[in-house]
Amino acid sequence: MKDINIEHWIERMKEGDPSAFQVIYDWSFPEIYRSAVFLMTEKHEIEDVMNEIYFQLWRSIDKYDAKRPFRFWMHGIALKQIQKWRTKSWRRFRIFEKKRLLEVEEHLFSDREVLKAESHQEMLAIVHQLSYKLRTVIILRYYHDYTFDEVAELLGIPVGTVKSRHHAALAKLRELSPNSELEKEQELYVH
Amino acid sequence: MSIEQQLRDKLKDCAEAMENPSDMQKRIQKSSYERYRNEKLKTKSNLKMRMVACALAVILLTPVAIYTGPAVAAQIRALLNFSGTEDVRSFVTKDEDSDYVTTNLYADEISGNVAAQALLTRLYRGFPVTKDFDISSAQIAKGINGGKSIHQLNVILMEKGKTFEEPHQEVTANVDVETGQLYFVQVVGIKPFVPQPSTLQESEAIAMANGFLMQLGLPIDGYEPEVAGAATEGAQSQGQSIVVYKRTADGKATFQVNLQEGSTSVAFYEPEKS
Repeated sequence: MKDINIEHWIERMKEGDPSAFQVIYDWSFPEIYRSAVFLMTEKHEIEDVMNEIYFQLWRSIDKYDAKRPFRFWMHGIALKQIQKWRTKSWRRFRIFEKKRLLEVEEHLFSDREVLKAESHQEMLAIVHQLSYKLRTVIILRYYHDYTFDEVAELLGIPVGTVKSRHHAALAKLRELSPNSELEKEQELYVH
Repeated sequence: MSIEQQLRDKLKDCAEAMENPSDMQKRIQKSSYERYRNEKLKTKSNLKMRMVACALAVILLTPVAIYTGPAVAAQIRALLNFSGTEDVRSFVTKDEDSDYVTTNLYADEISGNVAAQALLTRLYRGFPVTKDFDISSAQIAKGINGGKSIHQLNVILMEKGKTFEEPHQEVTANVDVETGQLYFVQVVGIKPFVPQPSTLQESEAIAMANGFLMQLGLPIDGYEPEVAGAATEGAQSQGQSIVVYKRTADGKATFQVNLQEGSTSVAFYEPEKS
């Protein structure tokens, strides 16, 4: 994500400048899309969720506090919408399509449309095998480089819970990738 | 390498390897913005309905009264020229290939000048804050300049109560008196201006330039914006960014927008005579 003077563009967008909307959108899209790919297992629903994320982002931009980092605020909105989608899909999961969803989920990201290289597909497949709660902590901590405190704030959970999820996620990752370099790492837990 | 670093590297590589779905990106951009805009319009129209209702109530409740307009103030016949310069009506500039007369206009001459009125309307619409500005200078230059025939109007609008010596907001504009064709407009100290032009991405510079032209009501359809390549390095080191507009039809560079710290300007290369 290249650095741009985002506050300036937000100000302009608040004033109704459509070119500012374009700049903010082009700047933020790749990162939000990648986060959604990491966090969501149903590829065919990513577009709907992305739509919802952006609609909420434009809607809330007037309330954005320029004293806080924009990326943090933007990730907060994205996580909230993904969480909302999960709740909806969980309901549907229980009521209608439990069996079908279980069958489909394993193959959703096996195509090459999203990822180019085989090893990257494997990495994504491993991440997707983590439960949503563990996956979120790993993505926020290692893809977005947030501290434990920031992850806790974004997820609205205590720091202790973040740390224990992080601990469990690393253990699970070692288990899931027996041949990878992750497993060779001798240091067991990192806080 | 620690497990943290390995994970970080692998996730970042993995993210980099993801192809950006450009079709999806376009669809989401369109639909999310439309939804947002519709919602805004809905909110506005609700507000409008309420305002109309209030206005109606006021009309119905207020007894009819006839107001006479205030007496027309006597026009002050003042020369519009730079503060501190000599109050002369006109002066001649003459050299090898130039011979033209510059005339300082009187305030009331501005209101009778079609090109000046069109220019002021354009500036007031694009930069509403300038409605409260003083016309600190208005001049017409007529004759031969650089071997070419000119008949130009030059207007400077300046923040009320300020002088050229102190930091101030200002708009300078230059138009052809006969055709109304804009030659040059520079806006100083009026938002939105570029915070740090040298750090602008190309897309940002183009978006800012487009926005500026839109504010001035200048059409950009049929022109291709391009961040000046050869001059970029030099321009950026001087704290400015230049966007050149080429006519799509023949690729001819027609005008350029200069983005500088605190000031934005547009300059047309060759005035097109109709």
